[in-house]
Formats: sequence, C-alpha cells, structure tokens
Amino acid sequence: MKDVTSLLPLSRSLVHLLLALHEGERHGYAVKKRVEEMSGGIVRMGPGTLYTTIQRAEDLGLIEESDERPPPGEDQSQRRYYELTPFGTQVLAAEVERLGAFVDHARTALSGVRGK
Amino acid sequence: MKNVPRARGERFYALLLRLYPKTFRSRFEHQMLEVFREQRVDAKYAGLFGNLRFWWDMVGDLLVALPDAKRRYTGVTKWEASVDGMLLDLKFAVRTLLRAPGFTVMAVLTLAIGIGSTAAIFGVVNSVLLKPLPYGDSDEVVTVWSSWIGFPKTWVSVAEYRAWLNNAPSFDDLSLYFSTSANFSSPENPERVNAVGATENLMEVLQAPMAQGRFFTTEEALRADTLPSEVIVISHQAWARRYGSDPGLVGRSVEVNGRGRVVVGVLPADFRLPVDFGTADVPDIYFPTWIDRSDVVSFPEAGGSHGAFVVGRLRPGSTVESAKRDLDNLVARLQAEQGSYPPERNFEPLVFSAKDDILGTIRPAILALLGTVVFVLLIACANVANLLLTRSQVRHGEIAVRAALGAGRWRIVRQMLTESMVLATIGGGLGIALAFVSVEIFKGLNPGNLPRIDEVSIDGAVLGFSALVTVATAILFGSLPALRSGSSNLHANLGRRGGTGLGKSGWQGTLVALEMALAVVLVMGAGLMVRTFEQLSSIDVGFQGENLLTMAVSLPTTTYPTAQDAVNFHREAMRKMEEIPGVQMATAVRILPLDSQIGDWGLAVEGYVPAQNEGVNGDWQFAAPGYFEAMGIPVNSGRPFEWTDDENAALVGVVNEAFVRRYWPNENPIGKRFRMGSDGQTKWISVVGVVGDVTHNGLTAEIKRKFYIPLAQWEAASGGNRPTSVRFVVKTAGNALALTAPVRNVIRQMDPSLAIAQVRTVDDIKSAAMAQPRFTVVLMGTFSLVAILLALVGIYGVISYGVSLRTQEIGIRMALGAEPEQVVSLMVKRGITMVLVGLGIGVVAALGLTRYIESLLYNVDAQDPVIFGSVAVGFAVVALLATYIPARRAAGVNPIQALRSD
Repeated sequence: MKDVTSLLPLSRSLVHLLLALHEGERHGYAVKKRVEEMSGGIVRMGPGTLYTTIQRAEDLGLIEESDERPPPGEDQSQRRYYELTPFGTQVLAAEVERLGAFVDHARTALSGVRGK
Repeated sequence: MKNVPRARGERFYALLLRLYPKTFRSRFEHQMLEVFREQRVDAKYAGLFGNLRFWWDMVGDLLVALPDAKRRYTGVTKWEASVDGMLLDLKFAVRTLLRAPGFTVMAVLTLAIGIGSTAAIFGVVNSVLLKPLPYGDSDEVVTVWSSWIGFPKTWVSVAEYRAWLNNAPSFDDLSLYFSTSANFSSPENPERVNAVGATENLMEVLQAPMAQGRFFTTEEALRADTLPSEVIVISHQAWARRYGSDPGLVGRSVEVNGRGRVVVGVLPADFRLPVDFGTADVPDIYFPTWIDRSDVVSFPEAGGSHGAFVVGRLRPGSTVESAKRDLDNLVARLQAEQGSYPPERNFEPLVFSAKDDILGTIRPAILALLGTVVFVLLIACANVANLLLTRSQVRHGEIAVRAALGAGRWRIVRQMLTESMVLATIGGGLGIALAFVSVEIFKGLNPGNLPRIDEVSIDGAVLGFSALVTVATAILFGSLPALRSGSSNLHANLGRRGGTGLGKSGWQGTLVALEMALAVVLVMGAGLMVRTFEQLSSIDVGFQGENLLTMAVSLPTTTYPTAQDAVNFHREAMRKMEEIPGVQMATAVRILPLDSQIGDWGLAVEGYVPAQNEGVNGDWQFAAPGYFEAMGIPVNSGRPFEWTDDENAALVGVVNEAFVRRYWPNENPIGKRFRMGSDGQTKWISVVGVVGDVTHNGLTAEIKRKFYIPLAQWEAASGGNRPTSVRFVVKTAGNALALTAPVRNVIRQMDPSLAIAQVRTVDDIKSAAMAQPRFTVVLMGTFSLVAILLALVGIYGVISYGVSLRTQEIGIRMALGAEPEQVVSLMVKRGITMVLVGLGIGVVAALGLTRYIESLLYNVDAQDPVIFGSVAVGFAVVALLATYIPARRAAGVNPIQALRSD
C-alpha cells in the first residue's frame, strides 16, 4: 500500500485538480474551468500546466482516465475524461486535513497579534 | 469530425508543443490542442488586447510547465534535488511575474533600455578602442609628424625621414608614404581612385600580412625612382569590386594611368594605413617609391618640402617618449650645426602611438558615452529596485505566509533573487536585440570619417559582457529588496496588510534622489554638448553650400601631356556643363574647403621684408572664373577672376583677408605683386581682388593666408605645374544631386576613359565636418533623455504609491477638516525633498565630472553657469510636475471611502 502522507504537501494545482475531479469526472478543459472558478481566478491553468499536473497525478496513481465517453455524435472524440482513484481521494482528504490544521494555527497566531 | 484547417495561431502553438518531451507529447498533444482551441474562444480573450493577453498566458504557461514535463519523480539524488529546488524557484518566479504583467513589462523594458544601451556602447568601445589595429604588435607602431607655427600637426619631408632613419635609435625602422590618386584606365570601366606611394618596407614596419602575393622589392622601388612603376599592389576592396575577387589576378597586368602594370599583391580586407581609419575611401592602388636611406649631408633650412606621412616601429624597450627625445635632440643638433629649423618657427617633430593618433579625437567622445550609458544603467537599476520594493510591500502577506510555512530567510531571499534574475535575463535578452538595432543606427550617424565606427559589431565579447552586465544588474537591483523581504518581521507582516512601510519608503526616497542626481549629471553633460554643437554650427565657414554639386576628375599625363591640354579640357567641360538645363554656373577649383587638407607654397611678396628666418608663404589654390560667386565667397575689394584672365593675359591673383593682414596691413593690396617660390625664377602675379577668409582644414582650424591663381594661368604662375586634377563645382537651380547624371555625361562624352570620383554636394562636405560632434551630441542627448524619463517615472511611481498607501490617513485628515490643497502639499513635500537632494548631489557631481568631457567642448566652459542654471531649474520644474500629478490624486480622496479602505 502506498503511503498517503509521503506525498504531502501537494502542490496548489494538484490540490485543485483533485478537488475538481472529486466533484465528478471531467475532461481537461472542464477541469481547467472548474479550477479557475474554485480558486477565484488565482490558480490559472494553461494547457501546459493542466496536463503536466494531470500527468503527475496519473503517475502517482491519484487519478486515472475514465472509460466513460460522452454520447457519440457530440463530436468530441479527442476528449479524455479523468476521475479520482480511491488512493487519490485518500490523499486529497489528508491534504485538506493538513491545511485545516495550518489555518487553525495561523488564525490563533493572528488573533494573538491583534490583541496586542 | 470537423476537418477545418488549423488557424495560424494553432499551428504556431503546435510548433511550441514540440518543446515538450516526446513521451509527454504523444500522451497529451491532442488534448492540449483541444484545450487550446477551447481557451482561444473564451470571451475574455476577445479583441486586440485579449489576443495579446491570450499569448502572454500561453507562453507563460509553457515556461511554467516545461520544467515539470521534463522532470522525473523517482530516484532523486541530492544534486538533482537542489537542481529541482532551483527549477522550482524558477517556475515560481515565472509564475509570480506572469501574474503581474504591468510590473513585469515595466521592469523588463526598463532593464532592456539600460542593458541595451550599455551593450551597444560597449560594442563601440570594443571595436573602436579595444580591438588591436590590424598590425602585428600594434602597440609598437608609431606615427611621426612635423609641426611648426600655424601647422600644429602636418606632413613630413623626405629629408626629415632620412635624418630620422639615421639618427633616432628608438626606431626599429620607419616607412614613408604619400597620398595621391590614380586612374584604373581600362576603357570599359575607368575609375578614379585614391592611391599611395610607399617605400618597399611598409608592410614589414606595420607587420601586416598580405592577402595574396607580396609587397614591393627593393629592386622594384629603385626602378620606380627613374621610370614609371611596372608593378602595383591593390586593395582587397578594389580586387573584389573590379576583378570579382578573381583568385588568379596576382601576376596579371592591369591598366593604370594609361599603362599596363602587373599586380604583385592584394592587401587584406581589414588593412588600413594609419591615416585611413577616418575615411570611407581607402586607397585602392599602391605604387613603389624609392627613398635613399642614407643620412642627409646638407639639411634644408626649413626641413624641405613637407608632403609625406611616416609610420615607424619602435625598437623593443623604446617608447614614444624616447623616440620623441631622439627627434628633439636631432632638431637641436641640426639647428646648432647646420642652422636649419629657425627657432622662431618652433619646429617640433611629433611622435604618437598609432592607436592614440587614430583614435585621438574619438576616444574621449566614446568614453564619455560609456560613462553616460553606465549612468543610464544605474538609473534603470534604481527604478527596478524601486518597483520591487513597492511590490514587496504588496507581497508582505504572501512572504509572511511562506515564512510561517517554514521557509527560511535564505530561502526567501533566494526566491526573490531568482525573480530578479528572471527579470534581468528577459531584459538582457531584449536589451541585446536593442543593441543590435542601435549599432546599425550608430553606423548610420557616421558619414564615413569617424575612425573604425564601420567596424562596430555585436560579437562574442560584447555578448559575454552583456551577460555579465545582466547578472550584475540583477544583483544590483534585486539584492536590496530581497534582503529587506528576508528580514521582514513575520508577526508584524502577518498582522498588517499595507501600512506606511517607512523603512522601505526611506530606501525608495534614497533611490529616487540617486536617480535624480545621475540624471542631472547626464543632462548637464548633454547640455554642454548641445551648446558645443550650436557653437560649431554657428561658425561662419566663409562659404555657402546650397545647390552645389562637385566631382573630381584627374587627367592622365599619357593622354593630356601638357598644361594647355588640361586647361582646354576643363574649359570645354565647364562650357558644356553650363548648357545643361538647370545648371546656373559651372566652375572648377583645385581642392574644396573642409574636404581635404590644404598646404602652403613659399612666396616672395613685393615690398614685404620678412623678419629673420620668417617663412613667407600662403596656402595655394587655383580656380576657374565663377568659383567665388558659386561658393558665395565675398569679393571684398577688387574683382573676381574673369574668363579673360587666360593663359595669354597678364598673371593675376586673388588673396584672402588673412593674406592682406599679414603682408600689406594698412595698404591697398590691389595692384600689389607676389610670386611663387622664393628663388626669383617665376613671374610676378598682380593682385586684382581680395576675398573673404574660408575655413579650410577643419571647422576649428586656424584660418591661414591663402592665394588663388586662375586655372588657365597656373602653369605660368607656378613655373610649369599642370592643373590636371580639379574639382568641378556646379551650381544648380534646385536639387544638386538630381543633375549628377547629365554632368557626368559631359565628362564621359568628352573622354570615356576618364574616371569621375567624389561626387557629392558641398552641403554634404560641410555636414561631414560636423560628424563627430553630431555623433556625440545625438547619442548623449538621446541617452540623457532616456535617463530623465526613467528618473521621472521613478519619482512619479514612488509618489503615487505613497498616496495610495496613505489613503486612509488622508481620509482622516480630510474628515477632520483638512483642505485638499493641504493634503496635496503634504504629499508633494516628500517629493520636493527627493528632487532637491537629488538635484544638489547631481549639480555637485556634474561640477566635478564635466571636466572629463572638456576636450569635446568648443567655446563652452565645462562649468558654464548658464547651462548649469537652466538645466537645474528646468529639471526641478519637470521633476516637481512628476511629483505634483500623482499627489493631486490625494485631493480627490473621498473621506468616507478612504476610511473604509483597508
């Protein structure tokens, strides 16, 4: 079994990719749009960043290409769909847990400063 | 499947994709193109700016993704990890910069200007000053000249050459050469070219190789002493131009001056004689010249006839100074033993290292330009440092978070420096492109008489230098903001966003004041140069140049053996030229002012008793009727030449005002007589007119006494010389160059074998005389302008940023009743301090530095109070304006919104 925590922290684009796919399987451009939407435009993905992130996630076994295809006749034969693997789901959960702990810590620190 | 042809943009993108590794491409290429197409039609990329933004994003994406795509994830060694770390820094830097395109473009352009100007001027320094001359051990090559009163640096005589050969142990050897002209006279392609007669040891003295064949043998030189030379050496340029670079030319005979001569050698392409670096027309033909190398027994009183150049090679261990001492001692000895060189005339031989001699006039100009661009580069660095400081204030939050996540101080500094390096690299790349363009512009500013400017290029040395400058630049502008970011207090920065950041704005103020000071120095320098240029432009050269076409023709002795033949030819040519519609007047003269150096001729002046050992002489010209009228040279008394002043009439002459001042002060010169030569063999010449003085040997050269003889009477007046070479001067109704073809045709129809040379307008000749001051003033002016702009952008940016940082404070002040003007003056105050401090430092620095360009100035004091004053005031006004405009925005602050703003 692969070690979940050894992959942490995940890069920002990787977190966003996993999060976008957690909502359901998507093709490349849809991932890009969703990531930009979720991050409020902070994470921008061009074709290069998008597919190097996808490659990385695939290589690490976090996502895989889906067998699902859109109904024929929609003329999108070039499109590949990706979905989260169970391992990917675990890693994403672990990363979110880690981030949450950090945010809590940071909040405490900040309120301490404000109080002075 | 839609099968539409790919749009151009997509084809280009497909090409970019080839940069990715093959495995990555085979896996994702189709999908990436798919995403590309979908992104292309996104509404936010519509329009021209949308289009630009799209490609900005695409290229940025490529730069960020490429290192990732090439990376492997397994078996990372420590070394790879550190490379990975650097790649990560790099990627992050690129990404950060892409996210702030306004900042990035501004910084990159500023750096490109700074690095580009430095690279371009270094290219000039490298090619003109640093590159050795095309001679072996070129530091040992010297030029030797004569000088005396009225002739600060002039030709040498054969007697002097022979005496130096035998009495100056500092010289290993000396070679003598002189300028002349010759005709390639084959009837199908006649051409008049510059030529040189040289002693056979010329190439040994210079240690210059031959491209092909050889230089002359002693036997060939000796033979040329009594008979027309049978051999010549030609320039690489003539070999390529006339003989199509024929490899078999050496050993063949070509026709020169109406006689077949064997080409024994071809010179290398980059070969130039020391006197030819400032000219576009290098000599094409070399003739052998014989000079007896033994010492002169009876040395001529004034050294003999001065008309040759001498180049020498120092013996190892000797110096320019020791050679000069040898020659001074020789002069003293000749004065004591033979009564030569009358002391009143201050005879003095001059020795220069060839490089100093060639670059003498342009070296200080180029060094001044180098100083200028270094200042521009420093200003650019200060500006970018300021931009970075401003940005680092915005990025406090980000940096604090990264520090909280465990990034060490060094890690953050490294990240910031990486960003600087990325900026500098892009700026440097653009800058080098800019340098390539600039160098072509520099060459365009050269009318052909600036030494070595035509050799300027951006070569490996310049590229290496630019790379160094780029790295140094990055460190210079990046380290201050980086170190300041690294030392940021974590808690304080997490706690506040924005704030007044006094520490940093103190630095910013210092940087702006520094920029101001640097810019002030440059503008002072440029002001002095502009004033010099004005002064030079306002020199009255004594003639006008409008609508005057000139060309040189020389008649070979073989077909025009007598002076009468030449006179007849010139007269006929002028008559035919005047028949061309649009030609108002055609005339001729020996040489044109400001075009070539004029020398003097010994005279006897009736009624003038010279002081002991005083040389009586005058610069000599011969001219056809109409010359003074065409050139606009005023006839102040008497009359100009008439067509009746011909070979059968009584000898007449015209002299200039300087001639009259010297020989007949307070007397009416009309009707006075003089004759050429002092031996009493020639006929008396009666003065019929006095004309205005004309500047001849250079804009600022001394105006000397001069006499003019009618072309038709030259033979009789000079005792048998032939007026074979003339410059025709054609006055036209309109654009002079438009009549080039018909005027040439006149000559061609009269004698198709004659070559026509130096076709140009008198305006061009006048303009070429201003070439170096123009070169300097245009470049220094441009760079100073750039410097001012950068400095103004700097102060504008800092003030407007200050206003935006203090919006809240301003809001409070206004809510409490402060008037808008008070708020504006509060903001301006800081600007005034920066401007005044900068101005003060700048003026003091300029007072100290402008003396380094003193040698470039003419009629202007290096500390001219008017220029200093007006530049300072003008500068202060513009700088305060740059302060006021952003400060005014403070008055527009709405108190309610300001208080709400974060």
